[in-house]
Amino acid sequence: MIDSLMKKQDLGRAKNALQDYLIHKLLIPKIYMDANWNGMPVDVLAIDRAGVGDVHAVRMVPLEPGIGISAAFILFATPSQSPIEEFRSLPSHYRYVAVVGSDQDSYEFNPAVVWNSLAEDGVGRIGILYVDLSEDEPSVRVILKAERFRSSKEIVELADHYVAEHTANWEIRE
Amino acid sequence: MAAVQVQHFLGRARDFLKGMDLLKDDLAEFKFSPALLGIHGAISYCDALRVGLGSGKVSSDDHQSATGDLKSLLASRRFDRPQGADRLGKLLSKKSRIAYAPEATREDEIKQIIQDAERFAAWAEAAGKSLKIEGW
Repeated sequence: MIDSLMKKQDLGRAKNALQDYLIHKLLIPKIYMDANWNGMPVDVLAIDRAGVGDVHAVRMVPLEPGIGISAAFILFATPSQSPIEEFRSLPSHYRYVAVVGSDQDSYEFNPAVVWNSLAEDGVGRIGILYVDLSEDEPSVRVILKAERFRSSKEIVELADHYVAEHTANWEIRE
Repeated sequence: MAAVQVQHFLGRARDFLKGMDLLKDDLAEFKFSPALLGIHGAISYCDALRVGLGSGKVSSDDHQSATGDLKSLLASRRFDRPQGADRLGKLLSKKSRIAYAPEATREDEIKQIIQDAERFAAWAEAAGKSLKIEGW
């Protein structure tokens, strides 16, 4: 019971840290938590420039205690098991997988991870972030920089509809 | 041609706003810089909107008439949320004081300028898209 509560709280803190990261990275974005984006769950969703700009979608991958980031990379490099795979079809300009953990370890970057993160045509790369919960204040580190995917009418219409129908968790109100 | 100018002013506006954003968390060290960047960001957003709405009067020294010009351009397009433009007048009235006045400026006044600049930017971004301004 306590374990599950702590896990839930840890994930909540990680979401807040990711929100802060996106507030600083973007320009006056609208940010939503636990979004249902085109039928897919997105932990943190940000729409840049007051809700009229690019869409950034983040999905978290929590690590079990004792498991470090190097283990996550082994998972990411295996296409059949990688959480990155599910994210390929998500309609958004920027996509991130955020590994959430509290065990600091060093890692060797696996080139297969970079390969798996790329769009088939090379336009777009899924970014990898690490949310470090080992310190009192959670922090977000960029492991692999996200690159922009192609835009589409579908993404723009989804964003317009989402902004009109939902209340942002964080925004600058006019 | 107007679309190129819109993108030029828009690029400036977003650049200034991002600069303000980076400095606003450290008001003990940087007070006037984020405020002035916020004001200039608002001016550039206004210029982008005015050029995009067909104004040929945009120049570097006509800021005082900018609010009135923007409001009449918005009225001519029957824009339904013109109130956002009022914030620009408020920001412009602070520009000289922030840039030149010798007296001290309170931190809450700086915070208010930053908040007004952010709110004006949010309004301008939404207005530019909603008005389907070419180059936005």
